[in-house]
Amino acid sequence: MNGPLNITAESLAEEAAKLQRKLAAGIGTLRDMDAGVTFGVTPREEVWRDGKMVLYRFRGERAPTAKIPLLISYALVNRPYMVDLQVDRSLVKGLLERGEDVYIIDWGYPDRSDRFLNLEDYIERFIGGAVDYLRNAHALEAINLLGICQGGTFALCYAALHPGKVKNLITMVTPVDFHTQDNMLSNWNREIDVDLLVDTLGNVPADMMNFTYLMLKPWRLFAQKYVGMVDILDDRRAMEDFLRMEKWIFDSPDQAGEAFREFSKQFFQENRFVTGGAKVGDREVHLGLLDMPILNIYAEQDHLVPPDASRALHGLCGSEDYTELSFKGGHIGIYVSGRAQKEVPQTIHDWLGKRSR
Amino acid sequence: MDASNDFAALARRYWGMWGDAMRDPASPSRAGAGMQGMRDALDAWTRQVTGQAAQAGFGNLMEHFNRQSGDWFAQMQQVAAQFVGRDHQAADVANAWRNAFGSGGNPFQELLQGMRGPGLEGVAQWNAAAAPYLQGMRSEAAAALSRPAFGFTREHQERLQALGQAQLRWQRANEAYNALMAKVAQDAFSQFESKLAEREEPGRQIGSVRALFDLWVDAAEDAWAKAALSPDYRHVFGELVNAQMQLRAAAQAIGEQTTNQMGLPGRTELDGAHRKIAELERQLRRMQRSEVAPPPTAAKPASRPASKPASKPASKPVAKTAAKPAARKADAKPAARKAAAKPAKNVAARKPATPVKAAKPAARKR
Repeated sequence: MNGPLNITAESLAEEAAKLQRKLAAGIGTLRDMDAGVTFGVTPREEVWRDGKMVLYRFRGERAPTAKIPLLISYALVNRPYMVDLQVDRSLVKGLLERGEDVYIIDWGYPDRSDRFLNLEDYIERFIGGAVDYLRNAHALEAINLLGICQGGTFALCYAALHPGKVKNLITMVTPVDFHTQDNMLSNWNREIDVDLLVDTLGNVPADMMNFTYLMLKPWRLFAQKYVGMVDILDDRRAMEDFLRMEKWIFDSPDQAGEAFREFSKQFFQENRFVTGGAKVGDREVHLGLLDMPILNIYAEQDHLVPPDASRALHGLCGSEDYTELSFKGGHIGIYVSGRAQKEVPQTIHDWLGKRSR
Repeated sequence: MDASNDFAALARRYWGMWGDAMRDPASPSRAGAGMQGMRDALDAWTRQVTGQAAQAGFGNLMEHFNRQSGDWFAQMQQVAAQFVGRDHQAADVANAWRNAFGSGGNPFQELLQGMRGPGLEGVAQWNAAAAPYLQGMRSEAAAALSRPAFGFTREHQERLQALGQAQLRWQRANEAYNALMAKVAQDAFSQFESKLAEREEPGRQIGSVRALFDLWVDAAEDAWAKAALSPDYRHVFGELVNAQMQLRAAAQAIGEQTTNQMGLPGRTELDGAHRKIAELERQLRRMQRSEVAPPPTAAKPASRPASKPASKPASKPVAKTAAKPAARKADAKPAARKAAAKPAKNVAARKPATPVKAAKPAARKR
């Protein structure tokens, strides 16, 4: 038969029958599943809080051997349990197993009373407060800071403003140059009247943020993904993983209005790390003042933070000890893929080990 | 009756309809029955599953699955069925897919329609909710909306005029956005045809509906990425969002006026209070920082001993100080400091990370 399709009536019927079998099996799979999917597997304890922001310390199977604590600063736009999603997909677990002493900032869920929190609050008050708590608790001048995605942008700001308090800086999938050719989010943001948006909405609703992220790849994320779900309907474990990821993707906090306004205007619209003039409160941020060792980890297939957006840090920072890890995967795969479990915690641990004495 | 068996019995009937359609795919009535058969089967399945699984959000997932994937897959199945056992070309398949959306149909718009779910206050959804307020405005001419207001109710008139103007702006923006999306859809169909043409040679043919659907997704995403990264999209999307926000703001102003008349606090009042609280907190922290900082909140007792916190400064005190020389700050203009970054070394997974020397700021070079 000539043509691009080689589909017979039998193969069509078989495909339909297979779909039916999967759907039927899915009823049993879903019936036997627990009422909710669990996530965030590693024990942790609250050690400090300020407002809705909580600083947690993770507890591994054994006591940490690292002398300098590692503080993780995650993005505001999703929940931080992505770094500790499940037992076999946990960056945190991998770091703890290697002896790191891991802390994480949980930003919480802002409500309308948080609408006027700004970048100074998030960076100086919350990250700064957590860093000072750890310096005090561990009797150290400086700690190790790991910033992820937008939390990496925050970490860069903090470290540039307080280089004496950051011993080693690690950034993961962190945007630095927001105006690379392949940055869809930045392109969409460029002509939005952010003042009007924030003044109208107050906080930026999570649903609006999620919709925007889905629109980056609308056919893959809203149609193909669910067609593909049929394949795993008879696999309870795979369905649990799927639902866990689904939970994380849509478990998004609203964005505090003022912080969103400042972040969008300074970074998405004006690209101020590159053009200069980024400000936190009344202080200017110069990445040239980042003189501590830097490990910059980015994902080669990142559709949210293109590699070039992260790699720009090399040309802007002032560190003489700058290292890059190019990870073969995407923005999410860098935490949860099998490859990530092997590569990322080991690289971080080895890199810190040489610099944390 | 066991739920799985119950579903199977229902599904058998529906798949039977589908089978009839497969035997005569060219018949529109049979094809329609087949499509309906699949939808009914998926509906039955969704009801079965959501009736059992009560976990939060699970019903939504099934809804999405049914509305998005079920429909798309059924449609693609229908297209594929037309070419069973007969010679055809890439253009025939692409056209059949195009025709599946009817005259002027746009798969992107259908996808976005399907994206709307419970709790998603999308642009179109918000407008649907606001329709009763806006309906009266649509017949107003733009000129009437710009006439000066006067008299006792002039403020109310102005608020209504602002709402009407915002609505007209939003309609224009929405039309421009839809026109752009129609172009994207045409590009997606063209790309689909090109990708199909690549699969015409024996050995590269598509052997399943799923593979055909995946090919369409590739084509649609390629077309979308090209458009979404363009300055044109930036402009049209920016205007759509800005118009939507202006419309919301105008509606909110009227809503707030109404609630104020009933003695209820509005957004402005609450924002004012929250702004004051945020400012007071900042002032308090500045005062605290200017004095001796109090010790941080005590940690809860650890459930088991942690690593012993150092009781004295680390043996190798860090030499850095937080304050940087002012001259260095002034000179460090990152953007101007360096030429493009050198290609950085990648760290091999199994090798220890190797440092990449970065150029120094100009100030330090001197």
